[in-house]
Amino acid sequence: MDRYEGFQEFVHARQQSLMRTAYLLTGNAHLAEDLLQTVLTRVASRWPKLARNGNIEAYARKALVNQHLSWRRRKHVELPSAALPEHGRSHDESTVRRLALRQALGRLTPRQRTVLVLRFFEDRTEHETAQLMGCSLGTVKSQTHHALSRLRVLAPELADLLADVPTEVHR
Amino acid sequence: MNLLRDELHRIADEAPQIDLADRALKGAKRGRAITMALAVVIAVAVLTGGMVTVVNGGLRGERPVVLTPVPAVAPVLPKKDIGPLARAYTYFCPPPTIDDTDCVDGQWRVVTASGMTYKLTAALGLKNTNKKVLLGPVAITQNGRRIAYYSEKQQTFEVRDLRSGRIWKAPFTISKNELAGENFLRLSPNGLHLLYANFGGRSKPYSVLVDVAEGKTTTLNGTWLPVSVDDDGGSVTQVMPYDGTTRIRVLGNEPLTIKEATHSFSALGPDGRTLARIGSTRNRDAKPELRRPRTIVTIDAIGGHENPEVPIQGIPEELVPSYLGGWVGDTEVTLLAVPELSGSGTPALYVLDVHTGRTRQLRTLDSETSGVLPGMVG
Repeated sequence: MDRYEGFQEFVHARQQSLMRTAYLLTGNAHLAEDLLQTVLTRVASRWPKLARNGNIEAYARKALVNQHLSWRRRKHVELPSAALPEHGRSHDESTVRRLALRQALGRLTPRQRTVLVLRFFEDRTEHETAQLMGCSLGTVKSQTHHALSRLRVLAPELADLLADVPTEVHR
Repeated sequence: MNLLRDELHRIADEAPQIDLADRALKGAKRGRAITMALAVVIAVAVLTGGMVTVVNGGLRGERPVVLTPVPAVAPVLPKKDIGPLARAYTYFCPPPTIDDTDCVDGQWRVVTASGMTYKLTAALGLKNTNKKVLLGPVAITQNGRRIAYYSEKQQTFEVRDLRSGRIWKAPFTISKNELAGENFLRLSPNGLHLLYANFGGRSKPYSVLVDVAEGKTTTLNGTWLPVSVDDDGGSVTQVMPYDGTTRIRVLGNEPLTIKEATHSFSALGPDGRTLARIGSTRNRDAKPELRRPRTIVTIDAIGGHENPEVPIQGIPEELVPSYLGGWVGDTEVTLLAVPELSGSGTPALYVLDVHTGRTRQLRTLDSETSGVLPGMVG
């Protein structure tokens, strides 16, 4: 029996969804691809066990977050996360706003950026976010608070964008 | 409508289309083949009395690269008579093809300078509980002869002398759950003082200085990150990075502020006041501006004077200076350089002269994930 049976099907079904999260976490297409390939290689290495017992996607998503935070801690390099998008040259209002958001995200700490991606892109609860990031609920709350406050300072023009987001995160 | 959510989804729409199935599968198969091959190499090495494989370093007569294989099976660390350690790392078990029924995922392992690998079963490793992911911290003295770790059984930190087997216990208990979040553990060069800080495991950040020989504990301001402590526990150095600045203090002295957010500090120097940090070279032509850590800066951590940045020389382009450690003389400090991109180089330890920026390589490391190295601050 092929020890990797079902792996390719899993990747084909879920890689683009995982790639979207990786892209938001890193802000860079090449790094996102590098990050996801590392994670999928790890998933493949543990495939027999995961396929038998585990929630494969949950494992992959947790590995994605952990690997991302670990890379950023290790490298101490300011990555080109605020790069202009490679397509979409029009400068209408929404494009300008998106650029401002990308640039502001690029200036958050890795943990602040991760908490925003998990809470507001993946719609994770605070509890789920804490589990994925391997930290306490209180840390998620404070990181979310700091991240939103910093976005408001870094990009005042995003005030409309953040209007629906609670100003006070329960602490 | 949640506009932030909508905009995040629009940014995610720009993610490139990819197909990584084949590449991931090849990577996994390659890793499995290496694991199996190393198991054979180790078996042969054990039979022939050697554990270190020496690979000649290339065509130009460079220093040989010493590779210590990561074994699938490792014995438990003996209670005493062990030589100095080269590193510690957490280990994840291979698929159940290797006959090691005692293998525990996330367990700490240590590697001696002579190449022997042991399981550190007394230490709490990576543990995924129902609610939290925990990783017990580990620190090794610069000479590799003593190691500190969190003992799940004793619910506190222990320092073990590897040669004599003597164990010192911290005079307090910490529950395993209080290790959630981020942990920082530093050891004095003689291993008898430890600095510990935790962010996220309690309602407030927590930091202590422990004299394990005398059984004394001093609670510190938990918002500062520990950098180093000297042998008599007198010079405790801490930092507090902000977004664009970092505060530094040696306990008992006024804090000072530098205009860069950084965690990459050395231990406090032998003069009791010099601290080195990895600086950066700005590429203002890049969009956005890139900062590469390619300089070394020394700071008088008592008086506040910061010297100009000195370019670091002799580190291959594909490696990034990442962490500093203890001092090996009045002007030389240890430096770890790691590949900028995964798979693009071999991490290596250097000795760096903080005045000239010149480096000399001490040794290469056997894995991209270097784990915990003796005396490193990071």
